[in-house]
Amino acid sequence: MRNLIALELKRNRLRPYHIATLICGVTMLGFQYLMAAIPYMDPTEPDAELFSQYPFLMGITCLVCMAMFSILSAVMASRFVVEEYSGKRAILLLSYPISREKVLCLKLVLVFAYTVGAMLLCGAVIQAMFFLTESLFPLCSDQLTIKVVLQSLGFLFCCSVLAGLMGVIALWVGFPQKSVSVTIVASVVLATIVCQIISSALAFLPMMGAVLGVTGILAALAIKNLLRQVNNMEV
Amino acid sequence: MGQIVISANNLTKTFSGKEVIRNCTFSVERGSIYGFLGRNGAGKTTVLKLLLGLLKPSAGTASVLGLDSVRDNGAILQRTGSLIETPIFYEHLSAADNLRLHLAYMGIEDTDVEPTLCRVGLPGTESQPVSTFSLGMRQRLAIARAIIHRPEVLILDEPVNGLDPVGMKEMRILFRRLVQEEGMTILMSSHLLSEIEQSADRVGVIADGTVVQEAEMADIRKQHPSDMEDYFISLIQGGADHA
Repeated sequence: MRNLIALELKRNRLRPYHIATLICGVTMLGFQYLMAAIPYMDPTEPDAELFSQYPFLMGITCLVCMAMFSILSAVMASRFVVEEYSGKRAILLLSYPISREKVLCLKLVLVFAYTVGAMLLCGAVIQAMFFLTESLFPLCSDQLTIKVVLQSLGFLFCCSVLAGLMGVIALWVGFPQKSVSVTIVASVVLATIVCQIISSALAFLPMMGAVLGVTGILAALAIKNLLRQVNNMEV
Repeated sequence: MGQIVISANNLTKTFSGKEVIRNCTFSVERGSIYGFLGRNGAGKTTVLKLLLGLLKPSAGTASVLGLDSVRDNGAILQRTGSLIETPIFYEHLSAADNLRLHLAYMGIEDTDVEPTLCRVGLPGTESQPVSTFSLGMRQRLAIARAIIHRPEVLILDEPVNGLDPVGMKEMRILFRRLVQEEGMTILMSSHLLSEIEQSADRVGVIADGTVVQEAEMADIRKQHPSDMEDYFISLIQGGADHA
């Protein structure tokens, strides 16, 4: 299995995704400070108070980050799966004496793990930098406590897993048409819906649990269906 | 008659209700070169894909090395080298890395790729990215990939496509050596009559998805010393009845 992962990484370069992750990180850091500065830029804004509270600020940043990484996940899934099983490239892939299910599972695990890992790292760095500057020159009116930090990390973890799962579900939509664009559009639509649902109850844990549960079930169904498609694939 | 290593029995393949391959029956003996001759679109590639298990037959059976092409697909792919349609490579990797990758997928380690590259006429290209290769070089590399793991059977779809006359001759010599020195069995398809005529020990002519004639090349040479081309063309165009 480890050997197969190494081969997969040799075939598909990760450098573009590292660069995309870096760009996402820098953008999100800027976004976070911009949100935190709203009460100072426009004190008359009715919701200005919200932007000076850590849970809201971290939550909204995590959600935007999740949307970005779910799209990145779909792009990666398109490259690792859709393109590999399309056209003449599929002949090469299916000509190897390796279980088709194993190869697909490996690709899905790679895409999911990269998405979750990259978003966690990116989010953790953003939070660490933000909290560091907050401890020196606070922008928010809240008290910065360990509880706030842990809650933010927990929310970040849940959003990272959601981003990975959404990439798998988007692939389920795009794979039958072997279309990269359909996969990416599906991830945009999914991210919009999920962000909308979670943002309506940002600090409400059962809502996050429910969204994670439903998305997890959909992702499991997606994997089952994708495995069946690949097993019955003729090229 | 020698041992049969590739066989198709009443092989039929239907796409969207249309029979592309109809009751195709033929067999290939161990240690021989079998030429599969037919016009473009006659069904050559489809038959080769059915043998490799890349397509599932609608009816009939196909076997390679005594293994069923659907049920024992993995075992067949392990012991077979193939080149189907236009060769595809990982463009950002070098020629040597593409071969190493192939070997790793085949579960083979510690095989030096340089001798194989030399064998197909690509010496000194180990570190060259495939993206810089010409059509002919890609075809040679694809043949290298098909033979590097020393398969028992080679299934090659239009193997000399894109090669110049020198390259065609070199590959012909290589195929013969693979058969004579390593005991490989080769099934190669082509629409080039001259190629099949010069390479194959036995020839199967496919027209409209079915094998219309199978014969030893030596017998055909004897029976049609001066009109071999016309003989094949009549088979390819109209089937056995017109021969």
